[in-house]
Amino acid sequence: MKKLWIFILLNYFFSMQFFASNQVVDTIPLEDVGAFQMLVNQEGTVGYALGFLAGLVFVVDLQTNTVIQLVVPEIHSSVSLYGAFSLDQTKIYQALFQQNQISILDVPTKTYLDPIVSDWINQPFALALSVDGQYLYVSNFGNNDIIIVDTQLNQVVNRIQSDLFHQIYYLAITPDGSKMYVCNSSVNSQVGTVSIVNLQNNTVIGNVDDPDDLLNNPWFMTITTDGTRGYVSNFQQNGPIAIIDIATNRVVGKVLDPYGYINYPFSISLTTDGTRGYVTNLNDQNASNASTIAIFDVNGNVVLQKVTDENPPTLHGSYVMTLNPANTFGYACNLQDQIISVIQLGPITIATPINIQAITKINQFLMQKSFVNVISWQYPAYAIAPVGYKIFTDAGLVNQIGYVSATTVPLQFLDFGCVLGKQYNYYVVAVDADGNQSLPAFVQIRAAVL
Amino acid sequence: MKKLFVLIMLLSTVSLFSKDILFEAKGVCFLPSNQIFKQTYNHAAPEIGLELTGFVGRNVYGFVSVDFFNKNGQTSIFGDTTNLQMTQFGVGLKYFIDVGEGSGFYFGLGAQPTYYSILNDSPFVEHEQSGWTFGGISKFGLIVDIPHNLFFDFFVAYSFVHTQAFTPFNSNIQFDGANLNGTLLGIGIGYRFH
Repeated sequence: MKKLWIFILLNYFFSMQFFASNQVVDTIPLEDVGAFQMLVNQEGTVGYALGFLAGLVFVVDLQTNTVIQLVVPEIHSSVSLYGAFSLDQTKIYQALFQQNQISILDVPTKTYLDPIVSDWINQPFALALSVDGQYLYVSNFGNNDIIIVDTQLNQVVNRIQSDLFHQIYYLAITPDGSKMYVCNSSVNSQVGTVSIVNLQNNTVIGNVDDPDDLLNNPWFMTITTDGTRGYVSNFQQNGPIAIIDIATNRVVGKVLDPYGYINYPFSISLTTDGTRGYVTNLNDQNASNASTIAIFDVNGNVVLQKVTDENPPTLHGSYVMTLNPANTFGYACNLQDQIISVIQLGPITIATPINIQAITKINQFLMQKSFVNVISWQYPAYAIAPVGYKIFTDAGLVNQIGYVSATTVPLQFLDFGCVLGKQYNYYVVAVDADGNQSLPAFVQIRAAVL
Repeated sequence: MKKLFVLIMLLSTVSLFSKDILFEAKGVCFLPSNQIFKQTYNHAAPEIGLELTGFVGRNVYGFVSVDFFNKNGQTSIFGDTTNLQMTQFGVGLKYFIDVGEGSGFYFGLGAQPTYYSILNDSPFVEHEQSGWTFGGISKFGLIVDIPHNLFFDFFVAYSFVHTQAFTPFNSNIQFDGANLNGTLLGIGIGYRFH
């Protein structure tokens, strides 16, 4: 009997883990210092959270999600930004924005080497390692240019200058190493652009053609592993996430966002199988609201889901999210709350119903009438088809009041016997054949007949 | 209601002992005037009835009648089924105008006590509603005698019947007064006792 109970409990535990995909499953506190980004080693066993304010590095055991070591530099930087591994992952480079230096952490010994210093370094911001690992490209916020560091010598050896550069927020190199894309954010009267650098001769080719002006404030860019498309987050209300065709250097569209999850997007992480993209959204300019991580289908270029967060939310001020190499976990650095949220990743199961509406109608008999709240919704045609919809009256999805088959036309639920003037809440979730549920679509109505 | 019953019995007795008695069976097409009635039970419905008319004096006849209405319907938006039955009793006077050998027009006025019964097939409203209500009827018709003391009665009538209701606002069922008015187009065939 005892063994049976253990079996049941273990089974329950593993089934819960299985179904906990795309949701926050753990948090890692960072001792009152927030991290901007976490680098994960190739094995996915150790994370290096780059402290935002002091240039600290938190070494995190990703098996237990605990900080096992804090590496403190001799020189404290008041603001430190992006970091990058060397190709063999024995070094971590980090941009010390206010020290005008690039720090180098020796990973095996967890000690700092001599930093990279140069008169050409002026407010370093974004880092990108060349595909062969020979050069590190660092954008200078202060000079609006890019310096080139030889990673063997740990010295600045060249720089790329162009009138097209302004307030560079991010650098992205194509998988074949031939081109680098430079995200120039909007500043003063200058509109956002993405410039292209030919890495064969380190010259600027020009700007990405943007016929629909989708690149309004580029802050981050990631390129698919096959090198065909680039995704650019534009840090503005409702983004968008612009899509660049790498072959033609032209913006060819944006990621559709039927749920409105894209809002002040920051980082974009793509799974290595090329199916999903995760977008951190600060939701306002100052990250004062809870963040949202939208999940989009890379093939369809449409947002289908968001990461489920606990209540109260742990995602707050989520700047950069890093996926582990196996794409089983994501790590969102929440600068606002100085924690890292651990997100269990998984396939997009099923989409939330859209365009949910409620209206009160009269069921009129000859000598009496009753009132019916008619809840209607739609389901995105591009998403995985559900088998039905559950209707609940509470946010906890406990009190189910109905089920509507997916074949019902039109898609609606009738709540009979309503009282005029009373307020009703409805939560509609889509359910797939495996029983997976979408996030709920919510509508509230005070029963009234117009 | 008791007085009405006495009146019906009185007129029935007068009719039975009068020198000219008309007894007929009627088929009627009921055309409701109320929109909810139309939406629920359609724009027209059949009705059948019996009527006894007897001479009172000076071209005046008394009449008593009973009509039966039975119709299934559906609520307009949600399609819940409902059934309405009405038994309408009529009592009143007709004034006849002879227009030739064996035929005459008449018009009449009368009271129309009505018993209604509604069955609603929905768990969210009251299943059965029934009761008495009081109304009136006006008639205009043409009697045409045919051989063997038989006659035809072609008529049009208008029935006035209302019900009353009251419900507190915060109830999940609101009861409504109903308008059961309607035009009746009918034909009767009967036997005339001279």
